Amino acid sequence: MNNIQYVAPQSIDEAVAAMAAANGTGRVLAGGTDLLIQMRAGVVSPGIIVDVKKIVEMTTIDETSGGYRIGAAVSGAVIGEHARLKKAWPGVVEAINLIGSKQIQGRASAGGNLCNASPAADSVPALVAAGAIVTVQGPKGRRDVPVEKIHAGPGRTTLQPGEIVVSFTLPARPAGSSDAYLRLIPRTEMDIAVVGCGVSLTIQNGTCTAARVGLGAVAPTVLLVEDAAKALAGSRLDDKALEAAAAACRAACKPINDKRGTIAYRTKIAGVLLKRAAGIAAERAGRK
Amino acid sequence: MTTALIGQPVSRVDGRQKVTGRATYAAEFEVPGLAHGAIVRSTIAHGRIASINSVAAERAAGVVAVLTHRNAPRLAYRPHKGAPDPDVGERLHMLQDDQVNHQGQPIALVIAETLEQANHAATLVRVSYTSETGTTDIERIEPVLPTQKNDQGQVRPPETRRGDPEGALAAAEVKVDYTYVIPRENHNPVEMHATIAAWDGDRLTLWDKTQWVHNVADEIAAVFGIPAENVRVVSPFVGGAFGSGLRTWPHVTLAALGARVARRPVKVMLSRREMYYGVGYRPHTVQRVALGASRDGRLAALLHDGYQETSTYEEFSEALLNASRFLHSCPNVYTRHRIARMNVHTPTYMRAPGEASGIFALESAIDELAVALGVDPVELRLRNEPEQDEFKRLPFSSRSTRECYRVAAERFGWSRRTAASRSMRDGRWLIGWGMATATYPMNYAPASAMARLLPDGTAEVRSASSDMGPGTWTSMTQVASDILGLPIERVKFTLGDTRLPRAPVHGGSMTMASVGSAVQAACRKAREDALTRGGANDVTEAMRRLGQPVEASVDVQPGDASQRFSMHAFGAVFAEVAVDPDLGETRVRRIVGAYGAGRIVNPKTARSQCIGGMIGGIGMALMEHSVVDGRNGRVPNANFAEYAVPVHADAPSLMDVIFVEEDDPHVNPLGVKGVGEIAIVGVAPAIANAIFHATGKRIRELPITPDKLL
Repeated sequence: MNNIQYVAPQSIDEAVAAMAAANGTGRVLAGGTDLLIQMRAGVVSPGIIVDVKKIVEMTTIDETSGGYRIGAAVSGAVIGEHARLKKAWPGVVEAINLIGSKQIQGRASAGGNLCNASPAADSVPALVAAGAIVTVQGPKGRRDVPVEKIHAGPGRTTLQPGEIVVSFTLPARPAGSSDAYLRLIPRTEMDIAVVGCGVSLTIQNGTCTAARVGLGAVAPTVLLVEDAAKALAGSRLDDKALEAAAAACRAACKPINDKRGTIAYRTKIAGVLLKRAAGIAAERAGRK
Repeated sequence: MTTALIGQPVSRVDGRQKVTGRATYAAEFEVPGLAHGAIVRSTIAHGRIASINSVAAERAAGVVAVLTHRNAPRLAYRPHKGAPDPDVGERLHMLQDDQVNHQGQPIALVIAETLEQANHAATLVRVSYTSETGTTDIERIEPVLPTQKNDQGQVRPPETRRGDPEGALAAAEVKVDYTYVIPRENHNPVEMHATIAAWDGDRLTLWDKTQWVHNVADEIAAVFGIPAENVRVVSPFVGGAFGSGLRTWPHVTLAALGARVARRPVKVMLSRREMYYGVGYRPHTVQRVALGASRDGRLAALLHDGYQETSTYEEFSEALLNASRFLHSCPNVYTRHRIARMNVHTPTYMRAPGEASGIFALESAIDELAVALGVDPVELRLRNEPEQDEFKRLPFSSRSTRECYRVAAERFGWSRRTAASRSMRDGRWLIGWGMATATYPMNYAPASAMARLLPDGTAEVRSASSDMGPGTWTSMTQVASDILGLPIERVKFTLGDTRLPRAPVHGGSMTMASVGSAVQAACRKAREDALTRGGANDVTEAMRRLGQPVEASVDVQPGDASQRFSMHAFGAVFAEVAVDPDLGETRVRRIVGAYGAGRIVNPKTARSQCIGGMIGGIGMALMEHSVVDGRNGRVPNANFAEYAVPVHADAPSLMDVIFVEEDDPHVNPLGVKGVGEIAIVGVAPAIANAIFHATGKRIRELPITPDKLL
């Protein structure tokens, strides 16, 4: 049988060293909800599994002058129970909490969801909308990358050999800010997004002063839709602005036809979800 | 004295075992010296194995043996046809030649010390193929009439006709004529199929997941050329099956073959993915239904022309059209059944086989006719309520459709429905109310049971039935306790072993009728014997006086009632859906089902059956679809991530099940009709009809996914 090694280092330096020594055959294990399934299906056969759950920096949430640093291996369940994070970034938390069942939530992490690089990953559009910065560490040291730059295509990332996603940083932002994530799935729970949409915005005196929009499952990678954000920013989120933003979302879509949805359907739904997610985020931001 | 246990909502007698993990399922038996088998499956749909190299697999750690068609023992494969086997054709013979008939066909078996070693070595078997042309794309195949005579020489008419259906359709004042498509669906029970095989000389024990232990014994005996009494099959618990456990599938033969070659017990357990390539499925169906009616809503013509996929080596046919011949009154009826032969593995019976699919088409069409006529869908059905079975020209033994419509409509609040589509709303959600009629035949087959009374006032009752979930353990204990007049905890019923008296296949909703009648008769006989010999008027006292066991074995046979009556369960299903007009999402909010199913032995487990059927019907209506790659027969969504079945959140908070009073003295001694299958019948069309009412969109191809509604 294939010899698979397993290490569970205490530090990121050790983890990176193990990944670097593996010469491309290393796989990071956080919750294992993707990795173990892929190993069983024969899709991946790692030489070494690097379990990062013993690394403090990767398994804790810190508040950093108004912002948050979330370890990449923190489970969805732990994130969902963090009251202040949930209040500050309800869209990010609800997106992470939509991944799988209760049992999966006890294991699965946002870092794993990002690195699995599915275009339909639920947490990623919300993190893109949130403007999350990803801290990556590899043999050449640390670097910070906007989350939308991590995906390269279905199952592929821009991470360099030996690099590990360490944490996400959600920035501090002014009062009157909030976010929301919505997805369309064919059943009520526990399914893969046909379209996912994250919206983060700031409202001051009824006017949207800043916005970001992330779209999932409508292209080979999760998209940052800057034209949609532009349509929202400066508006009072009136119907015209929402329709312009929805149109920008539809224009950004480059989806595929598959069993879960057609190109036409996904494109149309991207606009509907944008409007609804923007409405929820605005309510949460305290729109008067 | 009777304790009147029949009709009581008794909790499952095996419930505690199941929830505490003490119920042992096929894969869980601890058999000393067990080795594990992994099946290597073909990666083409049609052709021959050009070469198969197992050297690397044989050398892999822990490998005991690798069996292919080149080294496997030649097997007897004596003719055998059990009730669940197709009428025409022959099962695949395992590892006997180089022929590949379907994608995922077993072509080698790797036996190793551990499951992981077997699975790994299976990946090392190198195979090359000579592909032959074939088809796995039902859209590109012309259906044909099935073989007229089955393998026993009986003629099976593929067409039926009464009156002048074409003429009446042409002359009808109002008509609807559409085609309905249901894709392939898989059973997807929670428990994957598994078999443990252990030989002792020429005697074989199989621990198996099956709905019919005796048929497994008969078939494996035929395959290996040994007497059936040499094969013992043990299957006390089944973690759901829905029909996947009716036939004896290739992995059972492979487990026995592997155990014989390895000279030690072998376990073969299918993975979830393998469940899509080896235990059958509900076939893809295409059905045209044409209805003609007078302006006042009397059916004048009904044409139902359907076909379904089957394999190239067996002709599986299901009862797609049966209900159309008698469910509604109509003087001019034509039905035609055809098959599409493809390079796929043979489909099989899945919960309400034929009826679930055929009645989806029929009851959708009736709803379309109601819309065309501007008549309420319930009223239209009432106007076409038949006085007798117009196909068989026999009276119904009982038929409670009117009462089912009345009770279910009242409970549902149907009178508050506004007829126009898109006329009911709840906030942004479009609300739709739809309904459909359901029916399923009352099946009753020969069965045997044994009852043994002991001096301590307890009883042992046995029959080799199965319990795939309906609660057979419990309902049979109730029948026995009721007849014997003993408290339920003093009666021990046993099933699931070929050493017990023979029972029919646990399918077709016939277990309560057949095994229940046998248990009833055996207990009556034992009781009378005990009372007479013990000289007492109560079993406990009689047995105490006797001081020795009393035993009674009986075989029950259906009488001639089926020559005199048309016997079916009937029901009415009402559904409320909410559809998001911008997203096309459908949520089923309520389902009310009323059933005339004869006597209900256990209203609690019967209700559970019906709720399960309703949830299954939601899956059929909105989600389930085994995608078949038309190029090679692969099922790309052969897993639970991509084959959507309803989750708990999809189950409506209100599922109301009503059993109307029905006293049917003709069907069988217990007066039961069975509810396992009718529970899913009518649910999908009620939902589809409700979606039309909500949206004005008629979706004739299941599943009704959101993209079809935008």
